[in-house]
Amino acid sequence: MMKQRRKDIIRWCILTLILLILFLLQTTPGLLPVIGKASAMLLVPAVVCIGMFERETAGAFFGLFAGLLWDMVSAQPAGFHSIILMCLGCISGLLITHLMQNSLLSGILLSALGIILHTVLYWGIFVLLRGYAGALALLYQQFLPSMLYTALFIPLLYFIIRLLRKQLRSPVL
Amino acid sequence: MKDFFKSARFKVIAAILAILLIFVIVSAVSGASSPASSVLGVLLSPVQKAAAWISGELHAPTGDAAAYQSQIDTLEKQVEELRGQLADYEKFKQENEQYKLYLELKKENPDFAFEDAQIISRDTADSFGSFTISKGSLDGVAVNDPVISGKYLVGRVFEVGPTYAKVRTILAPDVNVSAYEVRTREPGVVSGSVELADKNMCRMSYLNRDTSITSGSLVCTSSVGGTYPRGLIIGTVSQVRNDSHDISAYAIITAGADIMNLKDVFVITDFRGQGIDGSENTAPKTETTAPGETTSGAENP
Repeated sequence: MMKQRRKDIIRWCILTLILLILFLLQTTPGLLPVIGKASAMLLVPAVVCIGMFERETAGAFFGLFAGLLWDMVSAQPAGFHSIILMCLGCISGLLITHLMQNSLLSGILLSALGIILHTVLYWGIFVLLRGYAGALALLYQQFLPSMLYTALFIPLLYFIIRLLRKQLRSPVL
Repeated sequence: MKDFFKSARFKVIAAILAILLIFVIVSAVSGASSPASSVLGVLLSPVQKAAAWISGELHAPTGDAAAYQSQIDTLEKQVEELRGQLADYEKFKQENEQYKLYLELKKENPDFAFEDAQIISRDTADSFGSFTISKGSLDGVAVNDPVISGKYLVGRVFEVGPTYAKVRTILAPDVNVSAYEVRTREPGVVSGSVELADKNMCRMSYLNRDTSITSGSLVCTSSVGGTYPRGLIIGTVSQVRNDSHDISAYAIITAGADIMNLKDVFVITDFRGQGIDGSENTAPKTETTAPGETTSGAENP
């Protein structure tokens, strides 16, 4: 039991470190290439995948951590990313526990839905509702390419988190 | 699933979400950052600085590698040394150019107090180039301090932590800068727009229909509002158009600074007239954003 607990703690520490590295990759200028206007939002699929493997409670807390990191550098009111990512981590965990099988396909599906939900909410609240002219053009020219660019990383993130889960497995789940 | 919604875990998650929601509302109204984000910001700013440094090293100019490869083996070591020196030279040359402009500005304006800062992160979701710098309230940076690159205005600080500060650029539609055109002295308000931001451009509104401002004219900050000192260069006029919504005209301005690709900036932490709006109404420099400041630059020409 103690051994397993230790494995859990090591796994959570590594997941925290992964989120930290993804945050730095996402926000440090020049570390991850910007293609046209598209930039990757790696924390969203990472949180969804973590939720899928760690389930709802841990997913929510990892989502909260990732969201707080993002809010730290965000140009928008503090808390937006924390709320969205916390919900995404929790919901993906719940869906895998009760409704879906944990596979690459469901990982891609849930992560893609998470990216769409996050982006559309961000665009809707901080661009559309503020009444900026050209809001729709911004959705097509920046947010849509960013969603597609981010989606490219889903399989890689899914396999990394699955590998971590396999190596440091908990008997509870 | 019902068990989860009845469990203590769900209640804890719901409570945290409720607290976060309160922070979003408070932050939207007052511009304050959440305490958790502030603590993380202090803890992580050294890591962010390190990441920015690594990024800088990765993208340092490396010279023409193909040309070096054609050199004979005995010279390879020497070439590697020269490449290293060249990378340093290019880096220092760029820095030198910026410092030269900064020095000119300092000579012209002895009342300015500067703080140099490194850009440690950018918000990938933001379309207007907002970024976080490596200096905060411990270095004397405060909300509404102007941020420049060389002689050119970049934006202003909108949120400050102890070791970091967030900057909103002049490309953002919610930043308004009172400005004037140098030759005609015609005043206007410079703000960003969605269509122009990715071209490093912004617009100067409220010009007279019969304005004599022409392409190539220089636009500078006026001191009206007390947020920006007079005379900082915003950019040059690219086009002048009539506004379809009213009887005024507007100019499209190409920003002087390459805002989306900046790596280092200067914060003007103090200047004569800071916080004085030009009338009898004065507002002292504050550590926190005034209500409504996150959504508006609050300056008028």
